[in-house]
Amino acid sequence: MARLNQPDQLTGSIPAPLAEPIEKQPLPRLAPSPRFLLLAHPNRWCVSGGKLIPLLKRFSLEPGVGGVDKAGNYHNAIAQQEARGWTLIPEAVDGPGTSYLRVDKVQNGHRFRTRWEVCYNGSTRIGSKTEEYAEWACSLVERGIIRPAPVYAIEGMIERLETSIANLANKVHAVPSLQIKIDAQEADLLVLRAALAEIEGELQPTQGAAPAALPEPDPVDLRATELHSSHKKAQLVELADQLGLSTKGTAKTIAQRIAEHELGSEDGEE
Amino acid sequence: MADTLYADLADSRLPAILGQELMLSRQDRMVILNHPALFYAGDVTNSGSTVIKQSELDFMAAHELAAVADGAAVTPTTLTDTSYNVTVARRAKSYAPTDLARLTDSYGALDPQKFAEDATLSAGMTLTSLIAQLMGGFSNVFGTSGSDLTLQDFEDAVTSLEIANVEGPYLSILAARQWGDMRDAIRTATGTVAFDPASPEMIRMRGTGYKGSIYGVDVFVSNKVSTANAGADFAGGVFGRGAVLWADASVPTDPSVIGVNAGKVLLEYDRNALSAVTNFVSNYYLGVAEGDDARGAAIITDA
Repeated sequence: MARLNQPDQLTGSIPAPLAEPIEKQPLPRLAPSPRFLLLAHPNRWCVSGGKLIPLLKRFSLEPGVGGVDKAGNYHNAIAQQEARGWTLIPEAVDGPGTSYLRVDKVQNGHRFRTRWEVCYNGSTRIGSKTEEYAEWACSLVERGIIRPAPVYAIEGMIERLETSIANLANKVHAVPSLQIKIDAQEADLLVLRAALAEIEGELQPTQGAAPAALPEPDPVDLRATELHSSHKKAQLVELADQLGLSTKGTAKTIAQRIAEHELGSEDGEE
Repeated sequence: MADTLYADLADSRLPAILGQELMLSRQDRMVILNHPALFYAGDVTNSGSTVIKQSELDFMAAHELAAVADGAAVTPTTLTDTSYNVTVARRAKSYAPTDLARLTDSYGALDPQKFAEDATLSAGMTLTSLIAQLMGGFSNVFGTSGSDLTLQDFEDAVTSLEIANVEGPYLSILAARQWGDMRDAIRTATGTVAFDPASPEMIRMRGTGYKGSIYGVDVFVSNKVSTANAGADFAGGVFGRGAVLWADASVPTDPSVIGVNAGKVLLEYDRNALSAVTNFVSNYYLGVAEGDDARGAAIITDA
């Protein structure tokens, strides 16, 4: 039987309490995506959230893409984009310390997104705060960061939507659910027509200059051509002979000689 | 007499045995490396720069003959050129299995040959991924935000390339959602659609992302296609030769390198004896860039 309180007996220490079980959140089931910047182009517009908004492009800042160099320097790449007509929307466009980007940890890395996109842990779904985004995108025009949509871009969109609505209308009797699409596109069409009416007065299409007048044809050449086409060579030789002109050369040369003589004598009479 | 239960044989049974075949995880494995619509700008190895400047010249039937009067001097036509830069950068990855992990591998997956195969496929996939990111970046845009992709949208985009004299064949890369909408549109189309679905042979040649040809345009699907309009849409696209340029480099090798030179991808074996770990490191140098913007069209439709 063991004796208590022996000096060599181990008393042990109380172990640290077990940590509260951590509820492990699964990461969003989305692929990693690189950091990006948003760029606007005068040709790219769309209707979203009931507004005409710039259709911004994501310019990837990944080394080796679009001129971003091995160290991730992107300034030259952005300059190349600007030379092609794109306008950079700075990341802190809403003020110092702000960003339109958000980053989430996903399996195998990080996923960059805009702050209006919504990701869910354990899901592949990407949601969107469409109305909020449309407000923000619209404000880029209102704040003067990008120019309003040009007339030609809106007109192109209207033409395409009208074609699309006409095509859908052809099928709606067979597939009644297409009426939902037609209604949505008609609503977009109204937005576009309103936008066009608003800016049409401000932005005029290019007028173009009247081209320079064509040079007056030489009257001698005109008369010579007329003679040549309406007379045979024998007739021209006879006419030249009557006028005391040389009858040598081709029919065209004789006609030229007669025309010069006729117009020369008219000048003399004047 | 008691029955002999499975539980009684715990020392002679295994908790689980491995399946007969190794199953690969769900990933996008679409490689479009050799499609003629992609313009290979070249190899920067020993060139003195990481940037390739691809020139474009206004030549070969770009200018018609002018009407000039007999005896009059013809005004010389000025040849104009432009250029597009492709910057090559390093891409790399490594796996570091321990000896124990490798020696117990009954599938043979952690074998140097398999790592070499993985390196080659991953390099192709990286190129696909980089190109897919460029799809939504063309200034010509077709489709309606928030609406499913229709045949009309696709046809409009292809027509715009034809109007712009873009050289074929055309290649389209769409997000899987967009392709689903397109397939639905083909199914419900009332007229004839010139759709040639991918045959098993074509899929073997072009990868699992190849879906077929519509109006003569090869359609591929990639989940690397980016979103647009704050995630409300996907930004796929269609383009002809010269819209997307790519370039690469060859990794220098010397006798000290232990590994496999798999084309432009170098797979090296880096042994860490102290930790009993072998690093399988692959390096690849490549770059992609948008070339002539007018040779491509973005197709932006509902996500």
